[in-house]
Amino acid sequence: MPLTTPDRVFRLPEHVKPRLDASGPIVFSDRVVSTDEIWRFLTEEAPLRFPYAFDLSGNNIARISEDVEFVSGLKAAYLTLSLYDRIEAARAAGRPIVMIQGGQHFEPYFAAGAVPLRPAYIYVWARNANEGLGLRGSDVIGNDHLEAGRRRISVDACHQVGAHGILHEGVLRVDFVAPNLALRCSDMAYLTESHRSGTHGAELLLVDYPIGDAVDKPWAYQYVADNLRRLVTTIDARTGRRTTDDDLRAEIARHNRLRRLAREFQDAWQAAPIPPTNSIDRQNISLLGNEPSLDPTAVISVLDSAITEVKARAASGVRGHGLAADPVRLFVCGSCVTADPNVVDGAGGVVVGKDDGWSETVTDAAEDGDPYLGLATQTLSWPYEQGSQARAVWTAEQTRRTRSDGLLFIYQWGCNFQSAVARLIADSVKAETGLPTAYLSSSELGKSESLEQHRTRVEAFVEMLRARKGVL
Amino acid sequence: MSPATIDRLCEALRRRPAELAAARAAGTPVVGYFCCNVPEELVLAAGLVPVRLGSGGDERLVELGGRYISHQNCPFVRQNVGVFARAAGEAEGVDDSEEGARSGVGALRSAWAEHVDTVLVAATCPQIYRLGEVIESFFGRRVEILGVPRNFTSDEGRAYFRAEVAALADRLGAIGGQPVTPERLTTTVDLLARTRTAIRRLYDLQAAHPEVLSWRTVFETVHAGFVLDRGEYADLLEDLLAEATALAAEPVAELDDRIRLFLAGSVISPGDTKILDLVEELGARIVGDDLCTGLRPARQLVVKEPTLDALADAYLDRVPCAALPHLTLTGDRRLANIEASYREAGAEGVIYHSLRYCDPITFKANETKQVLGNQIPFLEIHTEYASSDTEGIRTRIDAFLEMIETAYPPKEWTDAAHNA
Repeated sequence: MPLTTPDRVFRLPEHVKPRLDASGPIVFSDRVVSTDEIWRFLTEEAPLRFPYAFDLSGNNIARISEDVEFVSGLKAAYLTLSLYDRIEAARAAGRPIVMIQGGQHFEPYFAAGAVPLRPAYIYVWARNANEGLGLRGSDVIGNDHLEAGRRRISVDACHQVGAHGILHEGVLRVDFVAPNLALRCSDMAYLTESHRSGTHGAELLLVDYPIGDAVDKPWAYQYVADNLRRLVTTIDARTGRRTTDDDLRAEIARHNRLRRLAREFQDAWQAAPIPPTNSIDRQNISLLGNEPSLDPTAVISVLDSAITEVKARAASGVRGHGLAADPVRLFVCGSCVTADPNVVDGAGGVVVGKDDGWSETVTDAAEDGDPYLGLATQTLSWPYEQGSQARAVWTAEQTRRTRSDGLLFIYQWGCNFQSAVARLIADSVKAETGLPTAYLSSSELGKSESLEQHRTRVEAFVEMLRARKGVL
Repeated sequence: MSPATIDRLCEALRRRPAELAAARAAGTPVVGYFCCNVPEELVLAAGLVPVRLGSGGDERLVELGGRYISHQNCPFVRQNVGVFARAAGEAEGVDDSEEGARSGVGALRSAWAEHVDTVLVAATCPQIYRLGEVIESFFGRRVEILGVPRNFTSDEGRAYFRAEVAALADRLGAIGGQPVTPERLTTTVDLLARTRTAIRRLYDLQAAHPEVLSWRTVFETVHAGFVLDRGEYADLLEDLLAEATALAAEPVAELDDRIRLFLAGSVISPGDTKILDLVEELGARIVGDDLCTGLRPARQLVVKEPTLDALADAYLDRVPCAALPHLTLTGDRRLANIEASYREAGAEGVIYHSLRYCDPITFKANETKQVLGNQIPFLEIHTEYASSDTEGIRTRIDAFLEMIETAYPPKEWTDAAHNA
C-alpha cells in the first residue's frame, strides 16, 4: 500500500506487524532476533538514532523502501541500521576489523574470525556513530569525510576516498586494510598504499588480481590462491588462532548457500511477469548475495524470507509498490554505483538487474580440494572482472535473461577504470541485442545536493524507453 | 655547440618509417608496446621489431581518443587512443594540420601506430590495460597483455611474473616465427645493456656539462630509441657519448648558473613539452628525472643471466612504476630512486608533474613531498595537455624558482662535487 505522511517521514503502520511476525525472526550465527525486536528497533529506536534513513525526500537515495508490506525489505533495513551496533560489538569481542572493497569475496576473512567491511560500510559506521542526524546532517558528515580523503589523497579519487579519509583522520580505527583488488577498480591499490604514511597503525595487505585473461594460465590461479593464503596467515598472526583449510571450506559452503539463495531470489524476481517489488527492495535484497553484513547466517535468513515473499507475490501478480502500470525494464551496469532506484521508478521504469553484485553471485566456489585454489578459481571466473569484450557478451546475456528494455552504464566521479570501457560495453551490448544503451557519469551519487544531473539523464533515458515501447 | 651525432640520430629517425614499412613487407612483424615494463629483450629475441608507443601533448588527439574512452582517463591514455583512431581513419573533424611540424629529434609525434602489427601492453597501470582493450575493440588491433603483479616484491608475485614472461616468450615466438632461444636472448640482453649504460652516462654528462648536451637533448635522444633499430641506436648512443665526452674536455667560457631542477612524476611523452618549454623560458634548466620516458628504465636493470626467469626478475627488481603499490615506505625503491637521482644530478628543486587522472602519481604527491622533506624544494604541477593552464603554470614555476633563489644559496656545479 502507498505510505505517505504529511512530513514525509516514514513510519511503519501497525498492520504490517503480523506480516513481519509470519515471516519469522532473523537467525544470526550467535543469536536469534525476534520479529518483536526488529519491529521495536525499526519503529522506536532507529527513527530516533538514524532519522536520515526514514526521510522520504526525493533526493534521499539511501531512504528506506516505502513498500512496507514487503517485510523482507524491512529485515534488510534492520541489517543495515543495526550495522553500527554489530560492528562495535564485534570490535569489543576482539574480532579484527578489516577494510576491504566491495565486490570481492568474504570467506577468508570470516574463516579467520575477522570482520570485513567494504568502504560503504566504513561510511555507515562513521556516520551512525553520530545519532540523530537528519538527511542534511548525514550529508554534511559524509561530505566532511569525502573532503578529508580528497585533501589527504587526491580530488581525482573516486568517492571511496572518503572511507579512507575516515581512517586517515582517526575517526575510526581498523586493524587491517586488506582488500582483494579484483579487476573492478584501479583506485583501491593506491588508496590502500596511502595508509603506509598514515598514523592509524592498520596493517596493510593486498590480494592481487592478475590483469588480463587468466584462462589457460594455471599460474594466475595459483598466484591468487597464494595471495589468499597470505591474507589468512596475516590475520592469524594478529589473532593468534590458526585458521584451517576446513574452516575455510566451511565458510565457502556457508557462502555458497548464500549465493544460491541470492540467485533464487533474483531468478524468481526477474522471471515474474510483473515486477514483484520496487527497484530499491530488489536492489537491497540482491546486494545481500555479495554482502554478508557481518553475519552470513543472518543474510541467509533474510534471503529465505525474501524468496518466499517474492514467489508469493509473483504467483498472485502483485506489482511492486510505486511502479508504473507497465514499467520499462532497465538493466544497469558499470561502476559500483547504480541508477537511483527512486528516480527510475518515478519515471516509469524499474531496475531489473545490476552487473556488479550479480557477477559475484553467479558461481559457487568448490567445497572440496584446496579451498584457496577453489576461491581463486571462482574469483577469476566472475564475469564482471573479465576483459571488457567478454564482460560485454555476458552483460548482453543478462539483458536478454532479464527481458530488459534498455541498458545504462553508469560510472561515478574518479572511476577511470570503469569509465574507460563505458562506450565499449554500451556499444557492444547495443550491437549484440539491439537494445537502446547509454552511458553516463554520476557525480556525488548518494549526496542529496547533486542529484539533478543524474535525475535528468536517467529520467530522459527511461522516458525514451517508454516511448519506444509505446507506453508513454 | 651541438654534437654532430645528433644530426645522424635525426636522419635515422627520418628514415625509420620507411624501414618499418620495408620490414613488414619482408614479413617481419612490428610490435608496438606500451610501458617500459615490457621486456624488449624478448621482442627482439623473437625476431620482431619493437616500437615503444606513446605520444603526448596534443589536445586534438586527446579529444579524438575521448570519443572512445572516458574523459576521466588520463590524457596520455586518451591521446593514444586518439592516435589509433587516427590511424584507423577516424579523425574526421580533427585538425591535423600541424602534425609533424616539429623537426629534429623531437619530431616523434607522428603516428607510429600506423606501422604496428601487434600491440603489446604490460598491465602495470590499469588504465594502460584499458587502452589496450579499447584499441582492440574499436580499431581491430591484435593486443597481447603481459600481466604484471601488483604484489611485485612477494615470492608469489615473482613466480607469477616469471610464468607470464615465459608465456609471452612463447606468444612472441609464434608471432615472429622465431623461438626465443638462450643464444638470441644473450645477444639482446647484451645489446640493451649497452643502450642503458650509454643512457646513464649521457645523463651524467648533461648534468655536468650543459654547454655540450642539454637534458632536453638527452631526453629526446632516449625517445629516439623507442623507434630506431636497436642495434643502430646503441651504436649512435655510444658515438654520441664519445663525442660529447670529448667536447666536455674543452674549456668552458662561461659557467652555467641556471637553477637546476629535477623532474619527477607522470609520464612525459614525445610531444608533451609544456613544462619543459616553460622551465627553459623561465631561465632554469632540468638536470635529471625519474620519468619512465627518461632515465628511470635505464637505472638498476640488471639481467644476471640470459634466461627468461632472470629477465623477469630483472624487470621486477628494477625501480618500479608508481602504478605498482608498495605497502611500506621502507624499501620503496621508487621513492629512494627519486631522492638518489635528485642528489646525483645536483638538483636544487623538484617539479613533480602529475597528469590529471594519473592516479598512481597524483595520489602519492603529498606523500612524496613529505618523504623528500623540507630540505628539497618541491612543486607539484597537476595538469593536462590543454594549453589553458599554461600561464598559471608559468606563474607557479616562476615563483618556485624565485623561492629557490631566495631561500637556498646558489651552488657551483663541479665534477668533483658531483662525484662526491
